[in-house]
Amino acid sequence: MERSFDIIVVGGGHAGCEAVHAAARLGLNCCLVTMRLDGIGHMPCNPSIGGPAKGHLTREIDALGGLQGSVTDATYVNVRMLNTGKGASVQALRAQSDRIGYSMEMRRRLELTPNITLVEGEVTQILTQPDPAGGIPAARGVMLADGRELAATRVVICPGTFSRAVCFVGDRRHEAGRWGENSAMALGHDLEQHGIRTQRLKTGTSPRIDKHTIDYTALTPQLSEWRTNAFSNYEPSMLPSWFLPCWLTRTTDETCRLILEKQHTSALYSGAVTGTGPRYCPSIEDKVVRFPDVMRHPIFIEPDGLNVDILYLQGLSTSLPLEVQREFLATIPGLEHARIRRPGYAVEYDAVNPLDLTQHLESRQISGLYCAGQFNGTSGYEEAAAQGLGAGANAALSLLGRDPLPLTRENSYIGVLLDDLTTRGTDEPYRMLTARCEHRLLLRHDNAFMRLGPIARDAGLLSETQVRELEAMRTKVYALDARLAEGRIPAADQAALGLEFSREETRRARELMRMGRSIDSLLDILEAQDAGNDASGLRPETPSGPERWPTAFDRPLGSSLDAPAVGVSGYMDSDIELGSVIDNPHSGKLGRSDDPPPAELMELHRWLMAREHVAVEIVYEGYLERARAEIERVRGHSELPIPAGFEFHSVEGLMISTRQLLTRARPATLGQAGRVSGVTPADMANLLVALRRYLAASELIRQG
Amino acid sequence: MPAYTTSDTIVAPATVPGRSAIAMLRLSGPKAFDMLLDIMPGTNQVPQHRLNLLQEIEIKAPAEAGLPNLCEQAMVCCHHAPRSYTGDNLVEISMHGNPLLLERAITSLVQSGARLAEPGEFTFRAYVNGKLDLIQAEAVHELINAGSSSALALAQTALGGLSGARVSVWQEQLLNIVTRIELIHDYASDDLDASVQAEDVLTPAELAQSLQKMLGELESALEDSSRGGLIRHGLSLAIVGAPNVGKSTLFNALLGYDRALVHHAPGTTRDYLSESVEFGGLSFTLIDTAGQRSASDDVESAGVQLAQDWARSADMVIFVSSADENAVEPLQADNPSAGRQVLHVHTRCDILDVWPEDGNGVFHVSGKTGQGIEQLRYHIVTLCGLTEGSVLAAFNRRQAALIDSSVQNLRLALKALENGMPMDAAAQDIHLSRECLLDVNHSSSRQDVIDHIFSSFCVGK
Repeated sequence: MERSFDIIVVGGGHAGCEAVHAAARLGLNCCLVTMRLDGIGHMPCNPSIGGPAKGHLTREIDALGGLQGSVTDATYVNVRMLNTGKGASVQALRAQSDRIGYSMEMRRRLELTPNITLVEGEVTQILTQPDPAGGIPAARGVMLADGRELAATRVVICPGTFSRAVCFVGDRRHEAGRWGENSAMALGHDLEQHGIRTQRLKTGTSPRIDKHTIDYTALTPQLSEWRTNAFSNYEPSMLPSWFLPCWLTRTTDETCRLILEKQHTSALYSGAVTGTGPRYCPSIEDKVVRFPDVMRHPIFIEPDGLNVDILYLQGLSTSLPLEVQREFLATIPGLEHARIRRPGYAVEYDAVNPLDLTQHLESRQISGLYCAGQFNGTSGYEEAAAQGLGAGANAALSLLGRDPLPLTRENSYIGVLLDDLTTRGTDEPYRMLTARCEHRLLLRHDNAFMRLGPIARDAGLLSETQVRELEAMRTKVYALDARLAEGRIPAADQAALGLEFSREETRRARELMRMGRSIDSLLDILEAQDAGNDASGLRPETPSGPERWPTAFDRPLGSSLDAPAVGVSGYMDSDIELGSVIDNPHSGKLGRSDDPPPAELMELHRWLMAREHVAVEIVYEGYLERARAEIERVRGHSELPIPAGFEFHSVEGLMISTRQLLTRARPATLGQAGRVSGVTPADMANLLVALRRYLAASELIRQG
Repeated sequence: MPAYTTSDTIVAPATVPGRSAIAMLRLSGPKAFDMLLDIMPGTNQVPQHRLNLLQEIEIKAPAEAGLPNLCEQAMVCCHHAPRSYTGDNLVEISMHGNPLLLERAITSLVQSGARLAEPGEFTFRAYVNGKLDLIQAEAVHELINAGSSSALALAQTALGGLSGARVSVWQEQLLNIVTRIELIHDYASDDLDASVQAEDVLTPAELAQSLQKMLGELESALEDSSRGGLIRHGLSLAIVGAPNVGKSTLFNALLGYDRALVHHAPGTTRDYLSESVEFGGLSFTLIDTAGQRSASDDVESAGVQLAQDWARSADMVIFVSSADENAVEPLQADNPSAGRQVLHVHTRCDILDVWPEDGNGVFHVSGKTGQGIEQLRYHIVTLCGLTEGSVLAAFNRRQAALIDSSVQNLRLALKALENGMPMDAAAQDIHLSRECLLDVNHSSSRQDVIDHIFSSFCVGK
């Protein structure tokens, strides 16, 4: 062995970067091996981060100390809060980043992180050693194509779409992990040798075109918002030096006719591609076939970056031959003369069966081997990064002999993602959706730091600055939170955050909220008090008000906040934020840099984060209470007895191995079943359903 | 609760105990065919699926009894899994209807490893093996226990899958609603506006409208179900009134035979009498009670007390007075029958010169001639809101409770929308409402919504 590390991460994509960063944050000696160092953090599809559910993941990654959010904030050229007219739980940010800038910034962050060694090379083998006790073999390192061996007892592999990847354009086929990059054939082969089950999946990209060859007058622009907070929880977002618009156009009847006519030349229809593609991101030839009534499919034209002349055609993923791509582009308004800089192509690759992974993403075939990212059957940078963070942190925690990160369906999208993958598996590229979360109202964009900050802090994933900011924001949340006085905030938290010193503030906050004042005026008052001003002039005129804070169930929303429109979406309105930033004396320094943001801006950021969070909690209070009670209730099922005759083998939705585990352990109550190692919360839900069904059926028998 | 497994082989008589022409036993489970071959001398071939074979079977004597083995000519029919009632291998053996013979046959099968089935366990296996859904499994039980032709029809409807189909329709309607909501939630407004036909994007007002429609259907199903409960379990009908007004005569007339002792002396009926009777397709429990008066002895006054209790607890009360005297309302002071259906019946109308008109809840009969009895029966059935065939599909108590929870959650969703709450809040209520409906027949889960979004809408960003 030439060099030895605590943890080796294979692959420098979105999963690999988060994995190595999280493990290094926990103080371990880490190595990232990637085939091309300048491919770190590359975005091979459209350079966009976020959107509903995906943006939630990115916020969560950031709350857990990860990189994706802040690297996006540092490099975006267009950012918008989506779904502002809808409920708070489905609002999410989406940003377009400068593709090259993102990649460089990601690499720079890794280089600045202590404990990380970056190695360029192709991993061809996972080295293992047999278990003397006769169990599964254990990872002991990796071998590179040039024969070098790197040693580590924890290996996280994040090969993305590279494992035995083949690219397709029409009838042209070549082995490549991405356009112009080598496929990882040897690694795929080695994993097969280890008995790791894989499936073939497929994904695709759209053509990229020269930005000087399109007619902008035929397109509808989509402009960026100006925001002081984006994906970062713990710091405000600096405005970029340039904004770039996105553009919208649509296919025509002629486009659809042409694609249908040439459909047989597509790699997807000629039979060349056998892997399963993502249903939510179908190729244009799929869309034309499956939805024959729709002619005007939208195409979002997205900037590829600041210093390149390339535009990405989102919505036109295809593997039709290059000449057909040229032909159908000519039928689309604005793109009549577009020059293709790189054709759209499909890529087919090996993905591990995620059912062979534990909830913590460790392989069930090789101990110490963790898998993350697109290789696990997901799709999307956000899904990949979320798993990378989980796998890297859990690999490190296991080496340190500590408990894995407590990410669950009840506390995070990441928890839902990990649970879905490892208990239900997937046979198509898995995309995160808000509808996948049973407790969506609890898992919001605005409260990521409240949900996951303390977990990250306790695990050691946050920097000192982040811990300080977290506590500062939580203090502000509690100060604004009417529930404080009702004793619903744990005393330990109150003491830890020094809340006993802000009781007066809190009482006033609560009084004012009861009077039906908006959060805005509350904020003014609190700030006035902070500044030592006399706030008596702001005392509410009518002292009468509801005794209890209205909930969604018993009172119209209009009485809880100034107006429904304000209550639901107004707090997201960026007017104040914008005004404050522009008037800020430090605005000259707002360009992105490593300097800490000015103190005033930091303070404004904390208030905005706290205000947003508290306002949403108030709007949804009744629903949130019910959801939390439901979570408790399910926990309460733990006393439910499991009759001796109950057969775990008949429980639907349980993995065979889990059924075996349970049959062997024969727990007497549902709670005990939950503590059997390897049984997940989703298993418990299935078990509960089966048990209830069994009880209902035996009631039938009893009535006989 | 019985501890049962589905991996062993069970046996039970399928016919009622007692002597009869034919008795049948059923054997179901993985070893059923082996056990059959074991008692069929000279054959090692399992009979074909559903082929009736006249076959000599050998009933082995209990080991300790020292008795000879018995040979019996039986009809044997094998149902091969999964094409059987239980979904397992199933054997039906019909033999001569001697209880002793049947018991010996069962004992011998138990000795070779079969287990005596718990009541209903064959149906349980059918359910576990997916041959019946839960509604159908429950209907089997109800069918066997149906006490009237309406209850029979109701159970058959459920068994035939009509109730299940009704639930499936609701489930599908809610799935469509939820899908359209989640489509809005999981795709950004701009992308949706660009991708999806405008009419596919659900507004809160449209959502409220579809929910209101669902709510109406579910509520009317619940109404049907409460009447269905009456059909299943029957109604109790108490006959009360002053002494010697002809209560027992009416009781006998409604029954159609003389069950109660009738005498002109007041206070003849001291204890209450109760009998089952079916008319109009419904089953009733008729209760004849002691006449209401200040009783002279303890026994009679206990009977009077019982009568008052019945007047309080019966589903329907017939208050009887004689046509030849003015009706007194003995229950008026503290009317225990308040709140329930009360019919006033004038008896002995045959002594009147002119037969009076029925009306205002007052009916005229003669127990002696039987005149008016048929009309009275008809009115009783109508008063229940139940004419034969008026309730096509009703849900039992468990099913109705789940539908009721579903209704409650839909109401919350409507209230949320009314209060201006965003759709993601209402969506939680609707998801819960749908889960309650899914529980009615234990169908599948949330994943449907996601599959449905992808298959129904052309979205892709």
